[in-house]
Amino acid sequence: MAGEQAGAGRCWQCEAPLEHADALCATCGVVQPVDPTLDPFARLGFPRGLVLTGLDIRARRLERLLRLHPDRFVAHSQAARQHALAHAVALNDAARRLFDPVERIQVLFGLLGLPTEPPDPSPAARALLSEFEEAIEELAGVDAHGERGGLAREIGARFQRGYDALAAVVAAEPLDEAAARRLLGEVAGFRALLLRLEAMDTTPDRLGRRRT
Amino acid sequence: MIALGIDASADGVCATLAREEPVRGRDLGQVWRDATARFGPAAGAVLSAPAGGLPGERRSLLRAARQADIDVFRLISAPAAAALEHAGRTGAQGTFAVLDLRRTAFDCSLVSVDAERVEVLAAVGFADLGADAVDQAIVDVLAADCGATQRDHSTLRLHARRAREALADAFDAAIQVRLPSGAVLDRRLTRHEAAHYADQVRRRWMAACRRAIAEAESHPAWLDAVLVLDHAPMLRRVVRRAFTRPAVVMGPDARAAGAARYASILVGEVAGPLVLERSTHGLCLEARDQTRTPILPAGVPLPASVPCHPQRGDRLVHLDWRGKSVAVEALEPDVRSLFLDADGVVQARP
Repeated sequence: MAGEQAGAGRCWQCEAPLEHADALCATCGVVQPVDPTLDPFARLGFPRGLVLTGLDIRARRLERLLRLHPDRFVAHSQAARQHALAHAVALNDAARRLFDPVERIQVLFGLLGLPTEPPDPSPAARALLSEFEEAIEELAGVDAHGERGGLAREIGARFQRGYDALAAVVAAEPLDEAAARRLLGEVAGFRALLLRLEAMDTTPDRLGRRRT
Repeated sequence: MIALGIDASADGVCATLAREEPVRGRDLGQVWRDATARFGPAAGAVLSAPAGGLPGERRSLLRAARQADIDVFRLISAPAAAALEHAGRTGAQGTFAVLDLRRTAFDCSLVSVDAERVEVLAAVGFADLGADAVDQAIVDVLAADCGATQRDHSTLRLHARRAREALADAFDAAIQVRLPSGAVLDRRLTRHEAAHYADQVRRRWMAACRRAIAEAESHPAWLDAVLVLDHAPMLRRVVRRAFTRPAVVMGPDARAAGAARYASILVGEVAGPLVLERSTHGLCLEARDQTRTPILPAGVPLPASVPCHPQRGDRLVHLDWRGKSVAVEALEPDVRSLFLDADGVVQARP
């Protein structure tokens, strides 16, 4: 499976050549050391980009983890078990970082050589964010699950629009750095508001579930 | 090569080989010796422990296993073991809710099972609210009534349990006892009172069940089965209200049997799914001025590693699903990362 182990080398156990940069040696089946230089996208076998969903990430993590989980290698040597453990940690960490959309953007920005810290939003976006912030403040401490849900949907839709626009900017050649940075600021702002709303939600929803 | 399954908790230790009668006891080393004497020399064992136990419990269990010369292949959560056992016994696949009620703890886990994996989707519970919680609530009331001291509590607990059991056939039960401190208790406990205390505890168990369903992004109607491991009568109402369906009662030995099944998978005796677990506690750093910095939320797939840069005097706080601190550990300032191994144990690494 390409992308799990960079560079052609030799198996640390049987010294057979590793032609396809696989995490498992095709000859002896032993797990190879983790390549620390792989970024989270490459680790999970995704192209660098933002057109990814949580389901894709979950499925890819599971597919690779089931091949490289340390429990597969209980009968192998201590070194092989350590390598399998390191692979499992690396896969889980890569999936965790990509699962969060803002962290996914930051990982990609890091790889593209852009500053990863979200900049301050533009004045227009700041005004919109303040408007939403005020609406959230009004709902604090009030048993208003329905209103919070409506607000969350509205903010979520704006977040998604910003994310999609950013995905398009990042995929375009040449990269418009200024637009990408501006959109990161907006997306991070909307995401922070969504997290605040989620933390406030103590009322049961229609399934009787309480968030906190 | 044989490998055993061992379930260990405050309730006791139970060891078994797949499809054999279990060996029970209080001491892990003794149970291991008895089990290997009965089943033959074993290469190692898979341990099972409560899903939401206190963070130090798993570490202590692994230490006890090392001292008893047990080669531990893996420490899995009891609900994952029970789900594996259920799937192995019946051939069922899908998403199961597993309710694990012990004397001192309760967990509700949602576990997804197919031919390749047993994946814990969510595990929520109370490390301090088990089957004894109803008796404890009665003890608290009785102690307040007669001015009992701490040394009277074990006597009170015994009488509370007897009275509660007597209420199965009567509308009230008399409690008359002279306590070790000299205080005298003479009162009647009514069925209504006992039901009130039981209801308070049940409400909290139900909250945990609902939270587990929400965390797994599931719904009671989407579940394929509800498995109850122990104390089934106490959970009957919880299952009915939270899941609106009857439960499959598996019995307390299902945990060790599931661990034994996983042990035979790991040594290659039989083919079967892998167990994929999640962390049950969130982690945060607490500075000297009590400010907290989140490091990792609960429910992260294991194993995992996360960077951590503590200052001198910072402490590592383990948080449960309600955000309540359940354990605190000192951290050296040279720690650079926290490693959650596949057994669910947190290790600080420089």
